[in-house]
Amino acid sequence: MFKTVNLNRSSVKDLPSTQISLDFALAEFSSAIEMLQAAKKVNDKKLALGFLNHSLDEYRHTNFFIRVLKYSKNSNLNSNNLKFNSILAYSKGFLRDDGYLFDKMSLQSFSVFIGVNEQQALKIFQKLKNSNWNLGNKLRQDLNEIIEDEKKHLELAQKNFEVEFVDLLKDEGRHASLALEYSKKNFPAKIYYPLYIRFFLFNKIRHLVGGNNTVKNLISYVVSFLIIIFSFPFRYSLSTKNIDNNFDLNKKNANLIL
Amino acid sequence: MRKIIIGISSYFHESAICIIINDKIVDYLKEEEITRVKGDFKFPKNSLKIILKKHKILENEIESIVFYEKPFLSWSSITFFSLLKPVKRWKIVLNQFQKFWTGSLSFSADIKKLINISSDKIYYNSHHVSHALSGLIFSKDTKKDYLIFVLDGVGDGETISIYKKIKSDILTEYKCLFPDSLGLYYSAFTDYLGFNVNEGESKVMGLAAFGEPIYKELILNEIIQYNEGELTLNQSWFAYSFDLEKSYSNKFNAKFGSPGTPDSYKNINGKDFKRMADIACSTQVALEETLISIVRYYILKTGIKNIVFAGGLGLNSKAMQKLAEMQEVDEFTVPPSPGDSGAATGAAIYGYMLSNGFKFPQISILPGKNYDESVKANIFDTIFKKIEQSSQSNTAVANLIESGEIICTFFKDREFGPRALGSRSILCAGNKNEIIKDLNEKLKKRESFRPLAPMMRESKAEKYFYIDDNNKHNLYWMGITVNAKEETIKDYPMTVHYDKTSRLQLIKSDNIFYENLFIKLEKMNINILINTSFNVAGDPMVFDYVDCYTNMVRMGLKYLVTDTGLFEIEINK
Repeated sequence: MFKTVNLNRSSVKDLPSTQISLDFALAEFSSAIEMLQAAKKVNDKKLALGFLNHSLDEYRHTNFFIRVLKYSKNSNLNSNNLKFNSILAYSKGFLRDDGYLFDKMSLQSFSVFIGVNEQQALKIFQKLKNSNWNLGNKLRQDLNEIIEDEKKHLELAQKNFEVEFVDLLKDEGRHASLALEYSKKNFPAKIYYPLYIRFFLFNKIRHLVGGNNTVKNLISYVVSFLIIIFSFPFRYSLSTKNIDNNFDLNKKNANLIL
Repeated sequence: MRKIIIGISSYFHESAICIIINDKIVDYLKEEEITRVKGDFKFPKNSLKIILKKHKILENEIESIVFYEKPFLSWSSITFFSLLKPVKRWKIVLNQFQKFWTGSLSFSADIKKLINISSDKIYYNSHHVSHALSGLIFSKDTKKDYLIFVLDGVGDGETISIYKKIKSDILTEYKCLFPDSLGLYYSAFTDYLGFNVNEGESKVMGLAAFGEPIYKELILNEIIQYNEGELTLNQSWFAYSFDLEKSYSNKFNAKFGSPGTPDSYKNINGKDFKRMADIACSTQVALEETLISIVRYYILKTGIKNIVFAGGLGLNSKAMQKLAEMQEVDEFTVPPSPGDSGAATGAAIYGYMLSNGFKFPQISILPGKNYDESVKANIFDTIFKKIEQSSQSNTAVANLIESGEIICTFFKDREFGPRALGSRSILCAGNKNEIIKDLNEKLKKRESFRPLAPMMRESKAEKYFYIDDNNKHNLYWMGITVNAKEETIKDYPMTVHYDKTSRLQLIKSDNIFYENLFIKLEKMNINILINTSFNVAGDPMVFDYVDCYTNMVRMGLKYLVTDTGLFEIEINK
């Protein structure tokens, strides 16, 4: 995973919250897509196969978090924004619609970017593992009063996740070292180290800004409040009910957006 | 010089592009196929780039580019509606103003970033007329008069449009406006049942077979209000007109109990499953009865008995069967891609009509082309090993299927609807029940209550299914379900759904690969194949051979048949 998730102390405490599980699933999915696109676009056969295998690992990790998501408990579980839907990768900023990383970066920048972010991901996973392994206890406390059967189900799920999680950590370590080794071997130090520092800092800033929902929400409330205030006097004069939108082969009319 | 028309649908549901060169639809591409993000609705710049390159299209050859809806009408209809109650609907207001900059209003600007074309060659068609044209082209005879029903969530502010196609004109008979939408009614129940909106509707349809319509009267009395051709929905049950995250109101919880979760569907004999199935069944039956009432009313009113149905609700193949079986209907057509992505075809046809008058271009049900050159490093031979030449591949495939293997197909002509029609399919024998169960639940990870579709030769179909000649053409693209005969239920039980219907695909005799394959299989007592789309659940259908590889590895499948032979996957770690 090289599209990392913002994981602060409170979100770790609440694991496995639906939001964090969903973010991890989307981050893994987006990483799979980026690697798949790189595999299709790179000219070198060996690199193409390497990227392809990396992509397959990321798809496997996506499935892991989708399964975690299904066991996550959250009061807003039925919100459309908390169900795994790959299209959310755009709206949550994991995938950008202005192009893939491989299109925008040189091969050397791409390799360093992957390496730096895989290292970050590895740290997050270690953090997640240490906290997340209270998953069963936390959920058991919450669910004791609900259904006994579901409690047993969660114990079983926890065991399964634990086994998979160890594999997942191995993969992340392998991805990071492969990308960084490749970059170190093939690019001179004066190119490698500035890129390394740039992506490391960029990553930190991205997490800080990307995860700040309070700022995002505040902007949304202010904008919508202003729109509502300004449009209020005109609202009854706005209507599209009488606009002709029928079949019409007149080119002049067809040229209109209304 | 060639005359090229490009039709585009985008910014709302799956983006797609349709290309007409001279008098023929020559290619069709969905953005999700390239980006691998299911339901990708972004402006289809990736597909546009590669489709222009593939067909070596020069800018001066482009006669017109047609967008499938009227951008300002589409935006303003919802915006103005939400401003009527701006405090309650503030989330929609905000969303609409964000869409002002990122939605379909920027279509012209987005096109001009990629193609140097003057504004007078960019046209806009009515959303529902695009649907209507994409349906009409698949009717049995486009010269006949038709009654066209377009029903979807919402498009250009319209939720139902009923047109009369008479000679060379399409006349509007009725329009229903947002928020009264049967499409959004079905999506709200999909949401309540715990499935993703725009993706889970087919799950609701499959689930419905397991339930009883115990809430049908409630829905028809309190939620859907239909009278004399006019439809309204009781909005107190819905939240989609003011909430972006939830489609139904708290009245659902009060009446039907807690909403569905993944756990609701784990035990098919459980109480919660039964409760969900009853709700799904009631939703489906109420929809079918309302559609029948609407169609019956307008047949009586206009006297036209040939029906075309398009729009997202056309994907409900069970409801389409009910309409096709109506005694009042002489001929029924629902196109292979009735939803928004198919409307790109309608937009292209409209562009063709702007230049040529009211006539249709040629079309096939597999208009998409192969794009293997999109993979730069040629790694095909590294990830696949040829085990049989193309001349012998159908014999080898038949033997593998007979021995219980699952085969993936990847032929050069691509489907353009959401359903795999043999080009991008996963196949297995229709009478090997354990294999089919594994394919459905373990490999494709579909819910156990969802059926898989059968495919067979047209010439043998009467023996196994009840087929009506007037509607048979829909079965070439799985447009409607049909009732199975006892023999099918006995010999091929896994090809028949719980309600004894199947979404059958008929194979014509001019499909050489499949004709020969079935001749061989029939000698092995396999008359029916299971045909499911070649993709992991939640992903788009495969686009190139790299996607074939990743999907096969993810599902643990071994064999791939293409135009050039039969191949076995080689895992390279």
